[in-house]
Amino acid sequence: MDKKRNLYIAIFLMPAIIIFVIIYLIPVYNVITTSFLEWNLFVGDKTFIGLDNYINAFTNDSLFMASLKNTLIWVVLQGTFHVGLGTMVALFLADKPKMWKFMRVSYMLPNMISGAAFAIILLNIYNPEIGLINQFISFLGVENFQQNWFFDTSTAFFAVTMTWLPYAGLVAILVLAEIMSIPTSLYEAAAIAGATKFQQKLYVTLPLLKNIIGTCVLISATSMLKEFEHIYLTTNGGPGSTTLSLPLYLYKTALIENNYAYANTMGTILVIIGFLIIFVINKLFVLGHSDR
Amino acid sequence: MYNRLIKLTLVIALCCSVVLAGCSSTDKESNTDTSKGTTTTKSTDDKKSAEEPVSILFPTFQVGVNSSAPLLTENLRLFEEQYGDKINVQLEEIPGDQAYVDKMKILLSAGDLPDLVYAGGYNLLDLALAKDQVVDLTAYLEADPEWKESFTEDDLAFNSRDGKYYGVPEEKQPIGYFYNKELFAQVGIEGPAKTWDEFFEQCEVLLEAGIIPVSMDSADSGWVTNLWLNSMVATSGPEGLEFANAYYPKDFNNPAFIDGMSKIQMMYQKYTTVDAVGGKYEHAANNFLSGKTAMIANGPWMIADFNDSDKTEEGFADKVGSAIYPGNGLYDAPMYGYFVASKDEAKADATVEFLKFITDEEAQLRGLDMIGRIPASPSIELTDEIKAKYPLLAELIEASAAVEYRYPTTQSAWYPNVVDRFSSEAPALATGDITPEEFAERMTETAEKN
Repeated sequence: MDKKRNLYIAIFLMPAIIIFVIIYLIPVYNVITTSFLEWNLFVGDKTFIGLDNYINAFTNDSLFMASLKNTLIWVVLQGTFHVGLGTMVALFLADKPKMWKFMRVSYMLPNMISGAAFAIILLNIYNPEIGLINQFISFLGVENFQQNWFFDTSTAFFAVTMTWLPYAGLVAILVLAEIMSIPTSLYEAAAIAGATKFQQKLYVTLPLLKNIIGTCVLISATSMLKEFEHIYLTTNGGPGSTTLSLPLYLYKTALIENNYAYANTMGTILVIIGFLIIFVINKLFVLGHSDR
Repeated sequence: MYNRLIKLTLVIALCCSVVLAGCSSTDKESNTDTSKGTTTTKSTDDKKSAEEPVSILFPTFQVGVNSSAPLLTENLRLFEEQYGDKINVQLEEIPGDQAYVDKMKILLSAGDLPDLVYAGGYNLLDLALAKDQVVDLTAYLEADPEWKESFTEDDLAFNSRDGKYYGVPEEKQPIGYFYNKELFAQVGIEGPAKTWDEFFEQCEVLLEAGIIPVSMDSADSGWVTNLWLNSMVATSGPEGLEFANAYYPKDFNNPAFIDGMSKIQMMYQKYTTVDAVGGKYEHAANNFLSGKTAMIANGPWMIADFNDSDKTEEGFADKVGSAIYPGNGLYDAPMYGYFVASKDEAKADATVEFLKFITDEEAQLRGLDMIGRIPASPSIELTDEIKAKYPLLAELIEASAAVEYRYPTTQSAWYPNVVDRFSSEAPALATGDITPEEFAERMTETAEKN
């Protein structure tokens, strides 16, 4: 019986494994191996240069270091503030206040609009002349307020970060679904023991959300390793390198500088960072172990 | 159990291999060997090709709101009428020239360029030549002297490498600037400035009257801003002219460039709109078309917009004048044009036939008549009818005869990553976070990566 079961498992897994190998594993293998080459579209031959691309990235490329720093800051912000905000919204909605369904859908809206469209909307909202934000500040009494949010070095990083950080609709939905699945008997027992509503949230709900919060941290943090379109369509990494992310720098290196090997070096570094993030979050949240 | 698993895996792998090999062999049958631009077909469909039209792939960004779109549509219609039974042009619409360039680079790296590629202003030609994906047009041009005479020697030489012709342009693009005569008259300015000192005096006069003098931008390539910049550099003296005419400069640390950037910094801070910093070409154009700014640097293709009631008020064209740059300069350099990247002889022949159709003198005349495109051919002269239809174009061409300094656009002369860095750093320069010297240093650092 066990043999037959294993055979079925193998049969059902096989297509996914084959597709994974062809679509992901082979390209990742190519990315890693070509990162040790000198490979430019202008240069005919590919030459093996060992770790030169990596050494150059970490010792001689200020744009790479700036993009790496920005990306890591965004990973941390997204894994903490973004998930924290989504969790708070979910805890609030779990009490089913008036119009909670409407609020749930409204909060989800920015996640449903395409990233490109949302970036263009925000580009106009932040516009120094006609943007809603400056007009609102002018309305509050600061006459003719014309802050160029996206293109002033002092505000660009904040403005770009605000294009994704507050919109934690996906986190809220996932956490809310998990809260809804917690048996009411646990709350009843806590209430009999004299726990207040706040204490029930703190000592019953939150510990049971560890797995889903860990998953959300994982999803949110790793999403920053591929964040591209919001930045590309708003600041394009500027002013200077203030908002340059690693994926955007990778894109520019490949398609503008035609330096494919160096772009693949960054790709490899992104893959390694991704694995590290998954490892750390798995350790922190002990994911995969049931709490019930 | 494990044996069974291994067997099953092998069977599935075999199935996959058969399917993939099938796909691959189909491709191979219709693919070809390419050697130095000449091709040998191995297609099994050769017999059919005598009966069926040859399909050629032509991706283009001259679609939608692009000012050349109506001309291309007409060219395709006429070509279909004349050659529809022999050649089938498959148009692939790629809105946006940057998206087009990006896609061509990806296809180039995969060795899969389409049959006809537009390299104008982006130097895709040298990239494609480095990958040996360009068809040599020498024999085609020599076989058709009439077509060859549709271009100047300078233009053909610019598209040649090692004595072989690889591309042909479809137009000339002298680029000066446009000014709003009505706004000039309001503040008592009689006409375009002859020197840069006079230009900045005019800016000051306009500013004092509450009129924003210049349209500028910084996003994408900072196209409009770059036009002002390189003109200042080119007309600053012999060293500046040499730098402005240099293709792929690697050292931007020179007085002419730094002085030009200082003036650009001042223009960002004093003489342009708030949305210029971070703004795209469209913002700059809208500001001029809405009468908000008094001047914009741009090419003759913008003339069509002055008559477009969807973009500006009726009669706006009558308010606009065209001029060469202060210091007697004009963008007027040979241009990259189309090149053929077909992988077999039949397709190359068909593509060249189409290329002839859209670039010969007849097509150039059509372009002049329909959208005011300046012909590449030296033998086409502006008729009185055309002058009456496109007075701004006639004005610019007339003024260009006396131009002392001619130079290419930075978009065609600089490395693409330098153009991109210009766009990223310009906002920091505008806000004073970096100096013109630091700006030049960063441009040099980027150029050296190539």
